[in-house]
Amino acid sequence: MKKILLSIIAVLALTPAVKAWNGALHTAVAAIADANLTAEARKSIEAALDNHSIAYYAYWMEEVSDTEQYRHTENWHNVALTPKGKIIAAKKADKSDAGVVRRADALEGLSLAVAALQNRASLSKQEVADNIRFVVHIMGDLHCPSHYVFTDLLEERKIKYRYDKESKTRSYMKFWEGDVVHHTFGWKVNEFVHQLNRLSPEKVAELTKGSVCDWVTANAKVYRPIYSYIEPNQHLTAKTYRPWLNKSFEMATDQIGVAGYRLAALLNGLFDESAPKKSVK
Amino acid sequence: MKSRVIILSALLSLFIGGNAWGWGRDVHATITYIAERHLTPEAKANIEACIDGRSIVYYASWMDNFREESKQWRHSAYYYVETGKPAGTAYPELSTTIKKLGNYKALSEKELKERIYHLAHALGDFHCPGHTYSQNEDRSWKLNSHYDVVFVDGKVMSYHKIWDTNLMRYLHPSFGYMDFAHSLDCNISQEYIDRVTAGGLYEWLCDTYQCSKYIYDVMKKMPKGTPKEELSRMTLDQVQEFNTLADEQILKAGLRMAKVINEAFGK
Repeated sequence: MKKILLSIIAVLALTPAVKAWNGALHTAVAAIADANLTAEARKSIEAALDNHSIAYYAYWMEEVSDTEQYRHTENWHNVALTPKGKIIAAKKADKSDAGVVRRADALEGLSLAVAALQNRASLSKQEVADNIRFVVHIMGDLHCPSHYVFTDLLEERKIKYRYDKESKTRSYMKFWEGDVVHHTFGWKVNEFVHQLNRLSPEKVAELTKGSVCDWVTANAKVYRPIYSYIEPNQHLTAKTYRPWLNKSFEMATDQIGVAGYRLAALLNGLFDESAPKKSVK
Repeated sequence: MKSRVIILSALLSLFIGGNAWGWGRDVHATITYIAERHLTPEAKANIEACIDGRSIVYYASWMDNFREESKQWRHSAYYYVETGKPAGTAYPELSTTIKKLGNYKALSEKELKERIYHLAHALGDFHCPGHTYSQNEDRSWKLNSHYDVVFVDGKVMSYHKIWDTNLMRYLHPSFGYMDFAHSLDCNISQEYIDRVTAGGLYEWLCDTYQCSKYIYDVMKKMPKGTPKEELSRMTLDQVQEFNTLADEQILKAGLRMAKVINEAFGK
């Protein structure tokens, strides 16, 4: 009995609470980025990906994270923050912190991938491709509100709600992975591009200013309020669900576009000599 | 044509973008995207400047999504029009919107945005065959809310729901609004555009009614609760025939919406 319990605890401890936007939204981020790559960056990137677009591989990292070869990436999805929104390096997290904080190592993963691509002359083609795919996926995750682990809101991350007469409850964090957008818009990938790839050059310059850590810090301010939108075990009816959803869908959808522009800025800096360089820290 | 016509264009949404009343969100998006494709560059730039640079497609279902929070638009949910004796709010409200948008610079920011959202949604619903009823002929509106049929896939559902969403989804389950629009809005002539956009809102309503009224003669009226084996069953031929009507109505709605926007914002 004790062995069984320990096994269950071990499995639970190894299961990341939240991994990612769902596949459609990651692909949308990458497609918007693709539309903003410079010709030179796109040419180099697609050559490294065997003539596939970055959108093709937007969800790849999620698909391989359970394999032995890529298990080292399983913690590269979330980012940990103090209550005031200051980034915490996951490896420096207090050992008393819940596992979810110590597993929130997306920025470390992104730093490694970006550093590898900066020195890609020494990498194999496969390694270049893998690191591009890591960057594409992690940049999507860094714009998903549920990937921001505030150390004082760990219990809130477990909040579930009930919709109408359903007997099962739904995870609030999972809501932010896809339902928040899909329950308002039924867009296909090209439609996300049509809707969100329309910002002025001035606005894009403003959004892509600074480092990735600056972007994460800015996002944290936008994402933290989501925990005030829900109560534990909140019961939403057919009548109350829609107004509740209306508080969230616009921000979530817009962040997909923002993620796309920033991913393009990062990749352009890596693969186009003439483009401004972007740093993670 | 000049007989009493009642238009019931109801806008109650049950949940998650799936409309119990009115075209579903994908059809509304398709209509506004067709309209967008036919805007003059000037009209497109001007209307998008009024809605924070977004596409009008973004707001195609705003009225459904924000009904609970909007006193004004919630109460115009049921739309009745009788020729010579308007009994509801749909026709006069949309007429008002079109008139106000004709002088859009005089509107407050809030009213301007909401009038655009109203146009983007309501003109689409005016073209939904399941929303155009003849009051004095057979009270056919009852068929929508009180009668079930068996859809071609074997599921029992209200006749209204079939027209709002299931018909389009059954034949094109993987289409998004761009796919729908590209499929419907191809190789159409300027002569066709001129013909279907001739006249104004009243003529377009009458056209919808004339084109759509036969749908109420097709199904046997069996009240809700009738055993499934006794209900009318839609055949694949009927689905395809009805789909042709729905396709035409979607295209007309998009072209007519473009005309309204070009006239208002293309100056």
